[in-house]
Amino acid sequence: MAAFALSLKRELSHLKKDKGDLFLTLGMMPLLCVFIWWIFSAGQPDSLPVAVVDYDQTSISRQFIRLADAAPGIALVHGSIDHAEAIDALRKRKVYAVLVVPKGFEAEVFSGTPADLVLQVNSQYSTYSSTIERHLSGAALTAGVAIGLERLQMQGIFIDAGLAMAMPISVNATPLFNEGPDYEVFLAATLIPALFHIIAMILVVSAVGRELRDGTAGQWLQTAENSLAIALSAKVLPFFIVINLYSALFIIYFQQLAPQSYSGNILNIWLTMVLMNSAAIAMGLLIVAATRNFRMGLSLAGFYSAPAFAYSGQAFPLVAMPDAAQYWASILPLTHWLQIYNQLWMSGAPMSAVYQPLAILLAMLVVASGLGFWLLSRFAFKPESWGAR
Amino acid sequence: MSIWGYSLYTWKLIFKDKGAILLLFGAGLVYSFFYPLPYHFEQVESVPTILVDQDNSHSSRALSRLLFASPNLDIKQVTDQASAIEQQLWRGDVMAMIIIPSGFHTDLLAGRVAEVQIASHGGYLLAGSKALKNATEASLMMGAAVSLQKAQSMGLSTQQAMAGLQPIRLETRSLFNPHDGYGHSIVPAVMVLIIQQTLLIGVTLLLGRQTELKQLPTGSKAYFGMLLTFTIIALLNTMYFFIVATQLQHYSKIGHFGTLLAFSIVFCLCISAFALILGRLFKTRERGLQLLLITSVPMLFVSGYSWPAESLPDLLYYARWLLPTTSGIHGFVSINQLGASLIDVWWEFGVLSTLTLVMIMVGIKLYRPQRL
Repeated sequence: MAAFALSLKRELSHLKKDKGDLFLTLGMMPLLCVFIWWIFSAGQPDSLPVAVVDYDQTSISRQFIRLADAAPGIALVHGSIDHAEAIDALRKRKVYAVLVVPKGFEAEVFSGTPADLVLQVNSQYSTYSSTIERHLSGAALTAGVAIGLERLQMQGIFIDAGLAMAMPISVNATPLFNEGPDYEVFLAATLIPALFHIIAMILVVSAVGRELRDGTAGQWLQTAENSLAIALSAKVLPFFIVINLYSALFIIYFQQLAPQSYSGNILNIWLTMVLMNSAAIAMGLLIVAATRNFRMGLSLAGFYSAPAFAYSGQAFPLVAMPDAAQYWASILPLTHWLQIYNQLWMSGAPMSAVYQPLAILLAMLVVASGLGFWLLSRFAFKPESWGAR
Repeated sequence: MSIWGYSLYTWKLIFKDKGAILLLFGAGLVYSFFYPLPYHFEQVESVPTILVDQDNSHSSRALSRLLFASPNLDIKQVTDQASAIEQQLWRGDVMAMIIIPSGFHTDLLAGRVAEVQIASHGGYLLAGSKALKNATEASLMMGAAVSLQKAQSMGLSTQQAMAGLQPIRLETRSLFNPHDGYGHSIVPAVMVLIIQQTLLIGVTLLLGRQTELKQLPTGSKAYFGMLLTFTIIALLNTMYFFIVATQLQHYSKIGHFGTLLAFSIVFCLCISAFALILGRLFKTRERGLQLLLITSVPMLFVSGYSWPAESLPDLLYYARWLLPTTSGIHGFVSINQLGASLIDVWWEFGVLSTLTLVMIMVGIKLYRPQRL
């Protein structure tokens, strides 16, 4: 116990001396988490600019434009511009879509032939284009049903029957657990764990890596009375506590921020997140033990963890990825935890439903820390492994 | 030593440093293949979906057939038990669900509006919206067929009946990213981030070591010598990404080379000046790796590209321009994918030029000899 206390004291006095490492341990995560939440705090894309080119200039075309303007996500840019000017504005990113009402629109509506509206979107800016398209197709559908209904009434059909005729099947479409769709829940709440996943690895690689770099590994082990188990647990404990406390704050904050989106038990969620953080620490330990080089360990940990969100399947689903990418995703703790996030926290599944990702995380923790421990004990305490830059 | 002398000296330092070579030249190369890999197929082709048919009638089966034929729905299970949905969701086996409630067929016959429920798991936004779109289209298509029959049965002519159906059609045309590819949209922006981050980390690694050895070159000649070397390295990476890697990934590239080169020069000067500032502030070799690796993700999202700038809080809407990646992402995407001219990206060009000037002034001050 004395060995553990001494080792822990040694870690804490290092943090006291090294302001950079102290900031990395304590300050970095709160700063980045608040920043990420702040970016997405609006929740939904809003007022995306769309140019309107109205070649028809009739009461029907103006009616439709007014209806479209009422959609919350978009902001129509009026003014008498021609199509070339509108496309130019699209290229200059003043607008992200151009809605063209062709000449003869009203005439077509009245003659009973389907009247076409053309929406040109900048699909390179894909969040813009998909949001705009969703709102405007909703507006077109609404206007279409209204006109169809009016027309059927003119032909002597009662309004109820007319509605069933204009729209015999109505579609009630909602995203579950995330009505909106709310990007705070979709992105902020999944990007923040991705940052925990990165920082956990950086912290462990830093804590062990610097002992190897500075040639103090021997002293580190001696302080723990030559027990690597004690030396490692005292080393990991400070930031293990810090990141898991921050994880708890993250979970509690998001739960109260979007209570309608989350139905799981937050204590269980936190426990699974502790497991993910631990698996990430174990992976970091393996990386630094295998490289025994602070700089190389950080580079590899960065390569492994920094693009993890792209591979995790949260934004772009795993099923749509090539096999090689799916294999890579499967060796990232984040992938498995986000599965737990979706099933346990959002869908409210019982713990038994997520035994598979839990077992994988646990296996990662055991195998990586075991292997890392063995590599460290075997190679890390020989002076020839020290000082590599 | 002259500026050229210092520039040469910096090249020599780099080629003696395996870590710096790896980050300044190797990392970009590896990432140019590694990052686009998950998006190789560009599209979400099939969304695992469960269909709950509680009506089990002639009409509901007709709708099922349409749903099975939908291009992006992968119907995993058809059942009449609503409880199956919960099980499937809990296991994470499906991302979308469609319910045809009982009474669907009788509603249609009776001339009432029949309802179909479609829902997707809100955690998977991209797959969910694809499923909603497909299922909605299938239902509306069936609706149109029913309308037509019904109107004809009420004695309206086909033409009159057609008029009651969807009198307005919205035809969407995708510009600049013709197949609506996900990778095509996101990767060109991430490339800008990779160019900046590998340079910042590589330079802070190299200079951090020099600071440890108390051999960091100082003075304005040394400053400009280093700036020259780092700018050339950044330029090599930029050209590789936006000419070679873009081509290899089959992303569209409709900009003029002259425009790309002019914008690249100011971007590379800017990130090199940025790297020199951080290289002076970080006192150890590994500090840049420790602090910068984790900042890439927030930098991407604050740029206002994949998350619309119009939805950023006001302060961030303006403050985001302090990061070179913001101008870089919008500028390079505009030039390469939207075919913009320098005039079209005058704002980004201007912001980068201003940032470069300010950062060079700060840099010269930081690298004054007496400060060591």
